[in-house]
Formats: sequence, structure tokens, C-alpha cells
Amino acid sequence: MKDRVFSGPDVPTALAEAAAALGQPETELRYVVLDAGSVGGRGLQPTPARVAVLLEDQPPAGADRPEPWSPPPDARAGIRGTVRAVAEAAGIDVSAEIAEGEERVVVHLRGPDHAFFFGREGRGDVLRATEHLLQRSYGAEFLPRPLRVECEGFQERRDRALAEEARDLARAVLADGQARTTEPLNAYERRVVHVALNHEPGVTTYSVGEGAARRVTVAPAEEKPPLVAEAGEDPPST
Amino acid sequence: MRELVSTLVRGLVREPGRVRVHERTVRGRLVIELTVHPDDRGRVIGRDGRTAKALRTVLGAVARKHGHSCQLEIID
Repeated sequence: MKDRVFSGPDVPTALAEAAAALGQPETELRYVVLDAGSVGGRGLQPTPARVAVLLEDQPPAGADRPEPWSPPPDARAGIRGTVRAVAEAAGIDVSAEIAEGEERVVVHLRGPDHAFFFGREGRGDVLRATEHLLQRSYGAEFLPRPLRVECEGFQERRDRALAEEARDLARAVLADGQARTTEPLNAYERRVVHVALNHEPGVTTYSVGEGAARRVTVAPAEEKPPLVAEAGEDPPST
Repeated sequence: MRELVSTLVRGLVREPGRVRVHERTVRGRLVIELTVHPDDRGRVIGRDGRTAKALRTVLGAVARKHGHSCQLEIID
């Protein structure tokens, strides 16, 4: 337990100094009087009063105290506020526009600095991370419509490229009868692959692997998926 | 960065009033310590850690924009 010693002509003065130095009301100080002090006289020197103020559980001003905060009035305001917070923290000029359709709700990230969301390697990592956070925070408000986050057509282009890769795999599978497996994909990307090949004659798709290593296998239609592969949360339709 | 972490995390949790963010610098690296209500820990971490990873991805990109790096620690 840490403490800090303050002194003054008497105890109340020492406490007032402690309160001023620590930025806390006197009534909230926890302290021990080390010396009550004396005024002196009759040949005795005056001695100052000394108090030790306990500092435990008193973080530095502003360290981790809650900031004044009120919840956003609705999900739309929450989404815009979240994107604004990212833009302000990064010092970039980007804002969110929300387009609500019957099939889906799309948050468009627009502005001269939109490339921020493509990430360090240009693969859209920051965009997908932002989408994940917005879906977890506000996606439920729009159900059953899915909430997507788009940035200058990046996700749409990636979806199209992924669907084309899936069709290439299907063609290879049909050519030699050997199953093929994609690279690791997230749940949304696996769904893109499943949907792209849903009506492709002669092939079937199923997910394999666990967690971040989960992939989609494209196999001849007569091939049964391994029992463990689809027992869980990722049926071919998702 | 504190304000950004607070905004992101308050959207995720059921007890936004219990979100605490503390920043410190360790050997030039910004360390962000996040504390939430115990029932909200799962919401901040997510299935297979995906939500925590998304938080770290966004915070990392913001820090890089300023030429820094940062580390998010979710405190028990």
C-alpha cells in the first residue's frame, strides 16, 4: 500500500493541502495522522502536523475512470458513431452511409482515405474486422436482413473473385473426379463458395476443419462428406 | 485510442457502464488494458477469439497510421 505524507501547521491544513494536491475531496481521503503537531511556546519549538494519505485504489487522474457517455439512440447512430470514432482516432476522412434494402443493410465507408480499410496488405482485413464488430454490435437490430460493410466495391469484387475460384475448382473436380479444398475461409466466405456451387451439377460442397482453419471442400456429387465435417454449425447452405 | 476502444467495446457489451480502458506505454509500445463486466468477457473475445482479433486488427491499423504499435490486453 502506498502513501504520501503531507504537512501543515495543523491537521486540517495538512489535509486541505493533500486534497488539493491529489485532486480529491477531503472527505474521500483515507489517512493516518503521523503527528498532530504543536503550536510551541514556553520554550518549545512548534512542530508541524503530518498526515500520511493512503493512495491505494486511487488511480492517477483520468487513468481508467469511466468517461461521460450516453448510448447511441439507435443502431444507425451507433454505426455512424463507431465509424466516426475510427476515423477520428486514425486521423482519416471517412464516413458511413447506410443503405437499407429489403434483402440486406449495407454500410458504405466513403471518403478520400477509404484505403485505410483495405489494410496493410490490401486484403481488406480492416474492412472485415470493422464489419465483424458492427455486426456483433448492431447486426441484431436489422435481422433477418444481414448487415454488410462495403468500401468502394471491395467486398463485392472479392465475393465475385471467390465465386469464380469456386467454379474453377468445380471444373477441375469434374475433370478428374478428385476433390479439391479451398484456402481457410471465414463463415461468410464459405457461404459464398457454397452458394456459388449450389446448383452446379456434378459437385457437392461441405466445410472441413476447425476455427480459423475451416475450409470448403468441393467434391464429386456422389462423394459423402466426412461425418465430423458437417455435424456442427456450418451446413452447406451457410 | 482510449476513446476508440471505449466506443468499440461499449457497442459489444451488455454492461457498457462497466467498460474500463487504461493505457500505458511499455518500451515504446502502447499497451491498452481493457476491463469489462465478467459476463461480457465472452462478448468481447467472441467465438474462437474472432471479436478480440477484430478489435486488435482495427486498433493495430489505427496505431500504424500514427507510426506506432499497440497491444490490447483483456484483463480478468
